[in-house]
Amino acid sequence: MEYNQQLKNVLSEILNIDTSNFMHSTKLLGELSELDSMSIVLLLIEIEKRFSLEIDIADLEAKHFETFGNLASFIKNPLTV
Amino acid sequence: MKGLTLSQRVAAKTILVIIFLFKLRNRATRKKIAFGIARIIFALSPKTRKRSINNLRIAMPDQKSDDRIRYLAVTAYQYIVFGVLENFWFEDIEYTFEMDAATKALITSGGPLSIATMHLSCYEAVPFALQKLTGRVTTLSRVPKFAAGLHSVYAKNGVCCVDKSQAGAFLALAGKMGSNGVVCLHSDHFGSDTELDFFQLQTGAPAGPAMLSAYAKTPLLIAYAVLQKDNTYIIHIETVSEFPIGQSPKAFQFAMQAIYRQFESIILQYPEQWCWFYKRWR
Repeated sequence: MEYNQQLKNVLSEILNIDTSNFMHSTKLLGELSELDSMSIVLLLIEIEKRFSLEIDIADLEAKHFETFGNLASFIKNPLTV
Repeated sequence: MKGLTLSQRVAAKTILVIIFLFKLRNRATRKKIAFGIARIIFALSPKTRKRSINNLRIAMPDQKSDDRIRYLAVTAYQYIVFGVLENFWFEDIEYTFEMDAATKALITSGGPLSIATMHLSCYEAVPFALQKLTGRVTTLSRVPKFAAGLHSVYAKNGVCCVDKSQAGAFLALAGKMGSNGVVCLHSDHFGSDTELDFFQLQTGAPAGPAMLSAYAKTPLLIAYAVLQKDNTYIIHIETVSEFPIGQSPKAFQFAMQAIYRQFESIILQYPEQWCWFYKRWR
């Protein structure tokens, strides 16, 4: 399945929201009330499982969650151990 | 003081003047003055008094003496007010650590740690003292603009303070863990991360320490400061789990409930030093 669609599925499942209209510019952090600290942790855990990643948390920044596009790039790019 | 309104600037300057005046005295005198001022404020604050007394009755249903309840309510307020002021002269404070050998090994290992703290006496003594021990402490705080001096207190003591109100604050804390940071989070206040029992009442609680332990795969500890009769502090540090917490909401809840059971025990041991006047049960 395509990366972006997979990511939309993860976001939809964890946050319990409709992500079908999400675009690269869709704002996440600070805009979605569902995106609190608990859901961020659960998202990161699920992202690691679904995309077979191990994220280097020293590189984690708020900007990675600012928009859907940023998050998608974060997963695709080698910010991994 | 850029970006502050006039009243915020006045409040900020007033705080600095008050701290300056306090620092002209020795610590024992500062404590007497702070306790005196706190008693007056408490006497003039019926809502605070009522909340303190109600909270004490929740935690001590078997305590029949109204005098004892009232004594604890006002004394705890005094300890907390003095404790907040002590942040401004932490360099004058004497303290020792108390922890078992296994906990000491974790603290001195150099690895990342997630630590749950509580509002007991000078509650920022924990991150400040741990910073001196480890050199890599981060905490979380929502400092009002008029109390901008408080932020500089964290910086003065070498502690990185993440602004609680910023979007992505949790990510900033996780990032610090990734750099072998020691993250201290106050955890005895109301929160919406998880539900648990606290003195036999269901209530919401934060789960930051458990979530950080789970995601960053670090041990989980608790730490608290107790003011002694000789005005020194003992910083108690205890291991909740030397292994990371499981990665699920259920595991977070289980860990936080274990922490809260320990909080109950500590609060009942030092009831005159805990923050009873906070709106804890909602």
